[in-house]
Amino acid sequence: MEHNKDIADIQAAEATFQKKKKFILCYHSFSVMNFKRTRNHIRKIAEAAGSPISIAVIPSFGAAPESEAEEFREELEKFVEDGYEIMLHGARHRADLTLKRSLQGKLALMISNNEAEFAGIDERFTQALLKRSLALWKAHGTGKASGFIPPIWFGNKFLKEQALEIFDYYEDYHGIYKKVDGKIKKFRSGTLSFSIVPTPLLGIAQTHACLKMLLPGGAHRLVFHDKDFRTIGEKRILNMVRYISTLREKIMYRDL
Amino acid sequence: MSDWLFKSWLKISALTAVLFFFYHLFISQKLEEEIYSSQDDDKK
Repeated sequence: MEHNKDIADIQAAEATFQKKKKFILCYHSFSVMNFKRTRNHIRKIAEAAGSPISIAVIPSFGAAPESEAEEFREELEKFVEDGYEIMLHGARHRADLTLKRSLQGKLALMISNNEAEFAGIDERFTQALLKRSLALWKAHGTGKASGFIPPIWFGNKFLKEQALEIFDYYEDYHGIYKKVDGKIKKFRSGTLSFSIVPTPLLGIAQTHACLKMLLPGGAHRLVFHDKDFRTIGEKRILNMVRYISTLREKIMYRDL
Repeated sequence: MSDWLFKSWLKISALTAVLFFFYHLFISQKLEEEIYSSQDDDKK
């Protein structure tokens, strides 16, 4: 009996320690183009984690047929009703190549295969694109988006301030930001994403992600994309989520 | 002094690499485990 009590005490102490370590689980680039496939990924990841996760949604509908658009809207509504958190992920994710960009912006486009929509654009276009993203969400989405994640995490020097005027949270590759009493507060958070990692290095990247979650510090973001289910595989992704959920408490951006 | 620092750095790096390698083996095994979810049951 005494022995059982000791074990219970140890388990309680471990649970308390683990509760201090938190992580965010986010599925990126959920859009009208891929929702029929990716909605199952999201549900499976949430089931492995034990609760709803955050979803970074691309709000643009492009040239999708109205029937598909309607189905996508219903899917978004279901996710919101089930407690999933919505983050906006650019306006259409893909960069407009006609916009004038800084040298860093052009470099970011080269690295990202023209996906870094906000990279290196000026203040006026940043504002316009942000408003477009929000307008698209208001037209098609349900409820309030918690925050904004620039595609490929490439922004520009105006984006953070402007995004935090509209949204509660903004993130880049190095951290998550929130406006508290007029000042921007940074939360330490590493990005653990696999979509840009070359296939031969994916095993090492997964070990690195698990190790980073095992060690203390930061509310790291574990990010999955549609592509990861083809390169890493569903079994490994779900097992990774289960394993990390035993190391840290899963939270959403709004819990920060 | 610099020689001592270099040797210490070398030892720490080697130890870190060995630990990472063993953790990598552990994680690789862990991620390959077969676990059945309720969605698998639904398919049956």
